[in-house]
Amino acid sequence: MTGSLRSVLAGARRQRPTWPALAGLALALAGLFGPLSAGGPDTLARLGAWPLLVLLVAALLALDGRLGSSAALAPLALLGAYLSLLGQRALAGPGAWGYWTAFWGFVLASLAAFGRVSLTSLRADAPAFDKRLQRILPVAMVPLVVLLLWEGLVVGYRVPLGIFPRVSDIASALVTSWPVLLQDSYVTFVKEVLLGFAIGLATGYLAGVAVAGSRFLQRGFLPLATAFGAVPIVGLAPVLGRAFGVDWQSKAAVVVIVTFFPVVLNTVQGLTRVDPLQLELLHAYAATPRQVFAALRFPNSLPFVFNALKISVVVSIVSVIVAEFLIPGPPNGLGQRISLSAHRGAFDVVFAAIFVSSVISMILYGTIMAIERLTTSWHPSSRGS
Amino acid sequence: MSWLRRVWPVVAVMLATVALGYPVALLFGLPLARQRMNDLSNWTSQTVAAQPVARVPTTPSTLTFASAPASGVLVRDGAPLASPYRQDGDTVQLGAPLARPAVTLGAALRGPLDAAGLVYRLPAAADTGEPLYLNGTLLHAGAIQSHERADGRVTTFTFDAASGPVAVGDRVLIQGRDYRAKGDKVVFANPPDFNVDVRRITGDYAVLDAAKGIVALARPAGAAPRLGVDAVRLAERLAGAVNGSNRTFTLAHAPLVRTDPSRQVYLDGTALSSAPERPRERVDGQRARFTFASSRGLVTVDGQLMSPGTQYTRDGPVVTFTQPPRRNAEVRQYRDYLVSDVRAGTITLATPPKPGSVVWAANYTYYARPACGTTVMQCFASMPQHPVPFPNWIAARVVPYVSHYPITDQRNIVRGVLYTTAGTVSALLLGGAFGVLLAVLFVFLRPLEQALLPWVIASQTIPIIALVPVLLLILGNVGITVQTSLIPTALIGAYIAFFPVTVGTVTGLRSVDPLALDLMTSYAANPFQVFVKVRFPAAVPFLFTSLKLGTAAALVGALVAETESNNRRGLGYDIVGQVQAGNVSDLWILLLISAALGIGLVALVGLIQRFTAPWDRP
Repeated sequence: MTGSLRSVLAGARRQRPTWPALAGLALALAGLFGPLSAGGPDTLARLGAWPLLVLLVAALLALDGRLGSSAALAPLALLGAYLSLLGQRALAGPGAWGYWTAFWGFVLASLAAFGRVSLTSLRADAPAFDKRLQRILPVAMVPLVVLLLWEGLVVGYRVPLGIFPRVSDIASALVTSWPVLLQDSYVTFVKEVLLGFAIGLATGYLAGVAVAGSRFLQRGFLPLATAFGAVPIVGLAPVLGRAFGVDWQSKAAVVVIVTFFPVVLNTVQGLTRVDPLQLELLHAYAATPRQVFAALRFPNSLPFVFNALKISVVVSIVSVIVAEFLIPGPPNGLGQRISLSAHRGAFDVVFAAIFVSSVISMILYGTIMAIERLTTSWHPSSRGS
Repeated sequence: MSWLRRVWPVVAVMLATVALGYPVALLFGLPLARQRMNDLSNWTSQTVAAQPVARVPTTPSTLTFASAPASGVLVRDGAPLASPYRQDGDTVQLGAPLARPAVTLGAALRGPLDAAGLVYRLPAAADTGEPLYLNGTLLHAGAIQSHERADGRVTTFTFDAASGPVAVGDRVLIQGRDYRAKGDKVVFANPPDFNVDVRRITGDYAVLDAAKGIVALARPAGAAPRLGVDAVRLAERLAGAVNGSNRTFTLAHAPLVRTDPSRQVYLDGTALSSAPERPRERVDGQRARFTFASSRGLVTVDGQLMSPGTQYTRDGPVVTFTQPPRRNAEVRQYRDYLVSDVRAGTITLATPPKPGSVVWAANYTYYARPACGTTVMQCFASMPQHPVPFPNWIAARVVPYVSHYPITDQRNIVRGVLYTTAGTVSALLLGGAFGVLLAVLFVFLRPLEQALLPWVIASQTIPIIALVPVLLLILGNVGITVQTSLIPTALIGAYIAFFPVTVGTVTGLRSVDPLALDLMTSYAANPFQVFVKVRFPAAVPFLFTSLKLGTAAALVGALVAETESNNRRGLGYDIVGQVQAGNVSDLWILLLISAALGIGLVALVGLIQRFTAPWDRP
């Protein structure tokens, strides 16, 4: 019992307090009693005990200095910054020195704790929890820091909504206009992206099979297909808009074309770049071309096709949004929403729509990765990681 | 010869693609052309009128007409002639002499008023509807408008006819002095005034100014034409049994114009009206009794003919429906007749004519043919905006489009391409520099990479292009507009282009041969030396591959910036302009130009790779 206590104490003694974080917290403390805004008589102290309480806990964590405490300190300091500054709905004028000192103090403390966690070199026998912490915390912290800086700067400089929205504006726009955004996402992702994607994939794979079967087509088609990757959607979209009308069909056609060419290129590669030894073995077994396709060429092409899909899902989302900018039709779809809202200065809706579309596209990307892992788990490329 | 073997399949596939453009164009265009052809509002209309006698009769028992209807009625002053007659083609044999002459020649026209001897003036302006006779022969009116509208500047006009005198306003111009004719095109020495009628006389004469009563003959005549007064005319007899119960009659020419103010249908001597009467009451969905102006007629609800007795009952002008018409339904009453079938040319009379009476039409308009042509292909060829034009039409537009503005003009396409290239290249330089810097930081600061790289990769799924309008507005607020600088274009392009560069360069910097690293360690090389001698050369092929991706992205960014900004420069602005103007062929040309620009820029990056990093040929 005493032995274990002694070892804990020794361990604690080995950990130095996080001095930069403490310095940041001290700054924040000074700032909390300074003026809030240049124009008004407010002081930050008016905010009450919460920021001070958070600051106190954060100071204790910084003094402790262990990896776990620093990991807790990083988000806590951000919370302190949020509580003390961004609870302000309306500053009377641009932020005064109290505002900025408290804000940057907290951010500095958070970054210091963050740096402590990610820069500490762990020994091989370090606890698994610490190792996981070191892996996850930096990734999780980046968006929080970015969002906080965004909000803090926009509030501090009193940037009007018509120029750049706050994070909280975007959040409330998400809440208030989610039915519209959901409907727009349905049009953009289900009708335009998914349909176009399915058609592009099917036709692209069939075309790839056809091209792979003929040397002439390989020579003639592949250079053109490669060159087509450089054709800007901006030129393509209006032409397709003429052919397919201004509704969702033309945007689905954009997705078809954007998907088609990478799929063709990668399918041809996958179908032709087979191991000659395996091919010879199948020949020795007197396999028919159909059997060669089913047993060797098709499985070999799958990783390539997934590679193409991962490229084209990203490109097709960008393309659909550009196409919706360029083919103004009925006001459905996220791209249209973005364009229309931007023109009337509703940037909170713009960013909310961008947020929704990136969440959905990340889900799409993740789905493709998951399917890839399920279907091509035998392939060396997925065995490696 | 080896290059030929490499190039020929590419050329063949390109030619096949171009050839494929024709069926694709037809696939998209023919349904639209068919729609255009079937739409009656796109048809040219033609008027049928009762014919005056073509020649002043020499024998009183035979009348000749120019183009007689199959079954005609001789009429005078809005009533059929009482005397018996028999029609035989274009001639009519009279059974008994007429009470008055078939046509009386009235006053001669005053004129000729011009040097060419073509322009005359009617005795009174009200006489423009009366027939004109020259030496006892009927003159046919006929003139066509030019395709172009006179705007005070245009001097070249096109007509559907290749011959005939040309009239501008109420003047007939003289060929050679005032204009030169070349087929269906006419080039004037002086541009006609704004909004003046430019016509070509295709008949025997044309009324140039109805208010002043000025007419022009197509050919100079020895004598002045004379007005035919009190003429007998041959009108069209409507097909249908006159048996006291039949109410439907058919006109010879269809489809009819439904609301045709010139249509004049007569039952014997009385003109029938097809003007719809509205009920006095509002159609609110509950009311069933409606009051009309007259106490007889055909009642329709939403265009559907109601049958009396079962669907409504009548008490004078009050009509009571058994079922109230729906709210805001079109309830109408037609006192005399209504056009029951436009396509078939059928009319339905309110009361069946008694046996022995004649239903005839003095005047009506019908749709003769689709204005675009008689076949679907003709309509397709004459469509103003094709969804997909034929490749040769696009090719034919290339030279006029490219040379439309002189090179000194900012709107010149070459200057547009250069402007977009400048934007793309600056975007690529900016984005490439930033991307490489970020990649180097990532490689040297492992924690930074751990924290940021997942988000950099994830952010590729964010449609960053969506921020273009926002970014442009913000930059505009700071005073940076695309009009004055390339900065917005460069920023937007760089924003899109830097991701692939960063990801590619990081991969490249990490893809170092571990043996080479070990060697450097054993030479006690410092990190900078390792970077310069091992990591950077290893990363160069990856860098160029990702720069090629970045080039395409930067071009898209630059073009989007140009489309969203309101300056008047660059390919992106041209694209928006052509979209708004609806010039599809020009849009295709712009697509090809921007494709060529993209391919060219990527090839340029490849060329630079060849010269700067020759150790790794792709």
